[in-house]
Amino acid sequence: MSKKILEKQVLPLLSLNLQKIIKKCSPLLLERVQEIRLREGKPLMFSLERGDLMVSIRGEEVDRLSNAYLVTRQDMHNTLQSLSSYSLYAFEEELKNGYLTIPGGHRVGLAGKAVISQGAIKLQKYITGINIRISREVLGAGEKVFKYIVRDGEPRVYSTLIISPPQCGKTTLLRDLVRILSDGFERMDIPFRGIKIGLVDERSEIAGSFEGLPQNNIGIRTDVIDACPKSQGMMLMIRSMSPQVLVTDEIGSMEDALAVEEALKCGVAVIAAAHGSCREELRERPGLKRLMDQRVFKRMIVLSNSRRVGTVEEIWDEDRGRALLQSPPGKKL
Amino acid sequence: MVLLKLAGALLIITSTTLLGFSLAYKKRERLKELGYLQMAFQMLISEISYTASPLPLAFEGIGEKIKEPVSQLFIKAAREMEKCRGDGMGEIWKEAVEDFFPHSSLRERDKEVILSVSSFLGVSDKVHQEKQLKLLMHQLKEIEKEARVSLGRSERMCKYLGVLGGLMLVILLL
Repeated sequence: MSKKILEKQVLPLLSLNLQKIIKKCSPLLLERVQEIRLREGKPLMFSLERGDLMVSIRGEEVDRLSNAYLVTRQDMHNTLQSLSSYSLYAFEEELKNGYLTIPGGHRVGLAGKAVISQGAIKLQKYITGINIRISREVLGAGEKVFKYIVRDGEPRVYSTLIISPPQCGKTTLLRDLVRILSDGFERMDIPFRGIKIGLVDERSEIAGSFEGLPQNNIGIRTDVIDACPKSQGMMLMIRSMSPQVLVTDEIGSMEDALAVEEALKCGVAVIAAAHGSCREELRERPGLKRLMDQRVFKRMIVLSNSRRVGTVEEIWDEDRGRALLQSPPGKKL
Repeated sequence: MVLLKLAGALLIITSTTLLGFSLAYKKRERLKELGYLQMAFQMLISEISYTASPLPLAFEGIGEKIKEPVSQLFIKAAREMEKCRGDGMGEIWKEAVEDFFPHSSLRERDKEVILSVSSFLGVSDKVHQEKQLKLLMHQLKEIEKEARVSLGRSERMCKYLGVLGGLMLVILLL
């Protein structure tokens, strides 16, 4: 499935040379590609779950640098032009933030030379690094966790924090939880009627919106505000869309914390994600520490890569101060 | 015999006259096209600086609003951009210009100016795009001005030359 997505949505946006090379790659390899990395003058690389690899001009996996295909300036230039529909000027904001979203919800990270104006990045030029992250919807990724975060009373959902290092399926889990909560869940043991969700998708990763339209399945009762700063977006959602749950990616700053508090005061549950490998680590960040001290998150889900992407290490119940689910010890990294 | 000669002479005069008039028409057309081009780039400037619409979209809009044959240039470029060919704007624009040129009355010199667009279009920020396009507009305006000044004289000359040249040919052949 991943190969088809890659060929249909990502490949046409690369330079002709790269298109040709990647088309020669074995289907088995393409199936597992998580990121395509282009760096000017450096080998063409794929990131997979097991690490990264270099690709030769014939589309084969190679170990030696001398056999790898080196990405040319022309490749970078043409890829960048296609990614931006030949219109970099239309993506100034995206260049400033360092990423853009392409149809299909895939995220393209960009690194180049920053142009600074009044102490802030105005835009980037001479882009020399492009990272295309293949967005993968894993429908059903949230089903296992789902029953731990819903309840009978009001609000219907516990405020939840998903804690995970990068690349461990945090966003995938968040996205699928949004879909399930929004569509509702029909299983004999846990019937759940869908609820209204306000999704503040600052980095366009959850819904993967292209021109405002979500490209991923995020359910029928979800309103999305795309590319909006979290704290402003959350307030906007509460004021205008009356959500029952607010969902947002990667909180961390004090501003985010205040916005979460504000949402809770309005009786809205919050589901958010944060970078980290365990609960204790979060206390090092002032914004999160504040939230942890106030015990606003009733459930905390810790993810890792230990067995495969998206392994649930722990589901913590803050009220009772104990883990509801814990992966067997010894298997942890 | 006389009748045949007369018919021949008439034929010669009509054809040279037509040639002269078509030359004059071409000059007038060129002036019109230079005007349309400026209009098109003016639209592009506002599309870029106010709405920041991407080029394929902007070109399509321009293609719809501007008259033939200049519209073809933009429609063709927009179509090619949507094909995901994996090459740069430069190649696409060049192709579109080459495609458009046989249908237009513009001259080689005008072509160079139009081709120069490919070196900057879409590859920089709004401010820079606007500046470059304004420069281009300026160049086109200069060319148009020159063409307009020379048009009055050369148009009449082409027409006269057509008629008179025909007459001279007839006299020589008699």
